[in-house]
Amino acid sequence: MERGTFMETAGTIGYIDLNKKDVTVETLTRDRRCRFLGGGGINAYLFLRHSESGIPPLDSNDTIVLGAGILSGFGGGPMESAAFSTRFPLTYRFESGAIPGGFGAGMRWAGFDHIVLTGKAKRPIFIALRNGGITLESAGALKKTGAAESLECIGRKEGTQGIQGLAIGPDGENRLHGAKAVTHDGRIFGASGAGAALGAKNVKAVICTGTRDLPVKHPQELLDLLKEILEQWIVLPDPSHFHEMLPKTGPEIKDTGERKTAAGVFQERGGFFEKKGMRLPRDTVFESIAHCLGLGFLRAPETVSETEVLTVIGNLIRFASGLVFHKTQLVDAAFRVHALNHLIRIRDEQYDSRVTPFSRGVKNPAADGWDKRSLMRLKVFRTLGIEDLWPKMREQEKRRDG
Amino acid sequence: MTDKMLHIDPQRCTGCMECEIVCAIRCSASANPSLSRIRVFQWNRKPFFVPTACRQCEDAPCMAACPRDALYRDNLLDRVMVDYGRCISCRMCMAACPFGAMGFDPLRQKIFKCDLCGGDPQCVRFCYPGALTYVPAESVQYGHIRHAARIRIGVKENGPWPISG
Repeated sequence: MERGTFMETAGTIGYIDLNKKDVTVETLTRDRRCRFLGGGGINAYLFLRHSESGIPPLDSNDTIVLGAGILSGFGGGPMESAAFSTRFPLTYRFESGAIPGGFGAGMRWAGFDHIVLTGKAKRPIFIALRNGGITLESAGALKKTGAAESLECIGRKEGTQGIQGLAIGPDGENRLHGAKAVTHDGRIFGASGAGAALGAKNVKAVICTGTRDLPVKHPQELLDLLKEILEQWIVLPDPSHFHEMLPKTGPEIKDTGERKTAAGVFQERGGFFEKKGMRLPRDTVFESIAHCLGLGFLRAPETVSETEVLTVIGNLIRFASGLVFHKTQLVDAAFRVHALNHLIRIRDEQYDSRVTPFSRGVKNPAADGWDKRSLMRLKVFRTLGIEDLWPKMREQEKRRDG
Repeated sequence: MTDKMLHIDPQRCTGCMECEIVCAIRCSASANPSLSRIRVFQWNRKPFFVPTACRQCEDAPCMAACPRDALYRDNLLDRVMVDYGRCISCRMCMAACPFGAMGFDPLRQKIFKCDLCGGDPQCVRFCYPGALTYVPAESVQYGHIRHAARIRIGVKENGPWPISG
């Protein structure tokens, strides 16, 4: 880590208790940032800490966590996404969905990295994040209004150009299980019921305005690397034939410099990452890391080696925020986040048989070490670096047995 | 002396706002679009986006308005520059600019304006739809000439307005 870096990039978490209309603000600790990176990772951690187990989706005690990634707002462009974590009504389990577009960047410019919503508001409200402050305002006038129209009404009232936000329509208010939510630039997300989850809390919209600085450590290097990723990984059509939209085959991937053998904690073996008996496919690991970074649509082509992808991601974080992550740390974080998501589902399954502890990308959980018996051990928790969660998990198991 | 100029074609702008973030990162070392030299204006919350940047006017109103002569013309790249040693942050140039291209950084208490990134504009580098181009002045009108000629001889061509240059 470079000197004086962490305090500049330290995030803020806003806890909103909708029952009492109470707001608490907390600074993100360095330990959590290093272990879970951000985005979907810290979302899953906050969800596990602040939600009770065995609550069905759309319940008034359920928790919603919105989170921006560690690279949200640093010019990711088409790759950017924020994370929306809750129990979804259609699939009946905990998931971290992606909010496409600049909502995560908007949250960071407004001064918040993560927002935890608990409880249920008595009347329809919208949540406004403005330059480090959270206000809950009445959205009674916006009842039965479409999502895009609601955002337009709120934007007119705010009167500023740069307003980011998301809103739900009448389907979300009526808690239809497949209700989606819409962002300010018209992107729709949460097909398994993100709109219904917000509607169950009487939250009509979340909007962000603000101009907080996000200092960049190495501007020119960051821009060069972003350009390289956009040109070579996200294959774009030639702008002079933009209307034809013909897919263009990408140029050959150049060597980006640093290339070290990945040794020690994890081993690459035939498209899988292994760690002490646990196995995850390559794509799942990269998806997990990308979701934590706030670049949910970052996909590496299959021709690029694992080491190179991890080097590029590590360089992106270093150039943007100055935090230094080794390749092994990134893979560890991916395993940790995957385990957290899985643990939440395992915990819910004990109370409700309808919850399926499905693990994305893992075909045979018992052989790959992702079933309950091999995961729920203190030794495994220590390997993953989440032993502080062990008492909480044990306590709930005891309560259920008692 | 260069003959290149920053040409903006609003018909091609998709409103992705990548140019704003990239400009702020390059020029202010801060990913904050309010410090961007180029601003994309959305017309009446409809999908019409108009990027606006400094036009590097020949008879620049900002230069005329400055009481300390802090703004000067750089003939090498044909641009208007700020001499921060002379600038007193009176913001007269902001009032004088007819395009709203001068900005003010409240944290550092300094004005800022587009300096064409020393001849390699980053907004152009990251504009994939092709709304921003840095082309020789003579080739700016070629796109329009081509379009007019096409109508004149009645040739049909698919797609939007042809790209400049």
